[in-house]
Amino acid sequence: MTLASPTTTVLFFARARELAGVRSAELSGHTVAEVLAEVRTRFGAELGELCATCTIVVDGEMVPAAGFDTTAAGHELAVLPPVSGGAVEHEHHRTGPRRLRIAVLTVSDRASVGDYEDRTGPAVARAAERLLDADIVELRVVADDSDAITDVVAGWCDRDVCDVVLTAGGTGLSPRDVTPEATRRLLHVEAPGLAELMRAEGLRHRAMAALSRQVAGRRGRTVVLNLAGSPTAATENLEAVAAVLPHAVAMARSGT
Amino acid sequence: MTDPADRADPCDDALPGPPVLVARLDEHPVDVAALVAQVRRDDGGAIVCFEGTTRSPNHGHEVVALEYEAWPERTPAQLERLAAEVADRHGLLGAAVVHRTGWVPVGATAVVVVAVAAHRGAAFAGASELIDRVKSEAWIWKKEHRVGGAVWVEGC
Repeated sequence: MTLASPTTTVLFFARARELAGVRSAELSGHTVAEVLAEVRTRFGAELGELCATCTIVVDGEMVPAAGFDTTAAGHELAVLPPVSGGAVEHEHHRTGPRRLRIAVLTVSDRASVGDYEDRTGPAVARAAERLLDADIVELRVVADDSDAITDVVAGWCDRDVCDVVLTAGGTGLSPRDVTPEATRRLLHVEAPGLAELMRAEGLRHRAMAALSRQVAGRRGRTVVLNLAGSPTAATENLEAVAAVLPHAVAMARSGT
Repeated sequence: MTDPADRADPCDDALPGPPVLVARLDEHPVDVAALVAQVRRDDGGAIVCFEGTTRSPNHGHEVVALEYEAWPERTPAQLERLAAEVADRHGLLGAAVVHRTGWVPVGATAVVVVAVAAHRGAAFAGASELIDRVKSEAWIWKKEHRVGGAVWVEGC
């Protein structure tokens, strides 16, 4: 009778992480080569191919291919894709329907002049990629200025650069908060249900969500949504409408 | 390897102390002036500071942002080793490398390298070598978010 080997903690980074769909996994196999074979079996041929170009690090030490017969079981094995020093590119091959194109506009006086970093825009972009498998086609910051907001958002809609515009910030009750008015000015039709859905979800987390005046609607073929200003609240807003957004886009683009 | 005695500036009265090193990942924008202040010293008459920023267009693609991923448990020590090795090779008095993680929009700074030396020749050479080694060796991966899709940029 043989004793089961301890598992190997396999860490994935960058494209390997995306192909595996996880940051780490406990895999069987005694040697490095056996663990990598298990990676291929478990996560597919594309990751298997990538592994062949990766640096393999066991407990912090690089293991050359000649050393793949060394023991991995019970250790931490990291799969490190080539770093960006060169220029080989791996396009995401996509099948099926075209992905949603999303433009993100952070509305903030202070972020627009660089007083602080815009953390909400990137958080919204990440959430959109995660929830909607969307392509982020714009990521910009403007001041709490009604004309500036209208110019940017209407420009994106009219040039058809995206299917959805997500604004973040400027939806509160302070005199500087002008995003809802600027948005309403450019919308051709409002979709109050989307705003209600976002507020309703926000209210489950905090009563302050009642102070959000966010609006939603359509300009031309583009859906426009106001999200809250904080990374957490903006992400929650998007989660609240993620299930209906693809259909909203399909309706907005129907007949085109 | 160069003998430390060969590197000593004949004009200096005393050999410099060990180099001041700063090496880290940062998920927030880097305060470059504060970083330079961390490594500048009175015996270093030359400071070279390099910033790598998100460029658009890049090779004809309209770029929205770069997204960097690192190995938080191990990349910082690797950056520190690179800074120490470059400082040693060029007789630097100070060396700093700070690399962003997460999303870095167009125009923003993704990586900062600072080299401090007695004279400018070593400072330029040290800064150049340090950024080259960081880009080719450090466990930091770059995803380019473009209009029309996202791409992991993998190299040599």
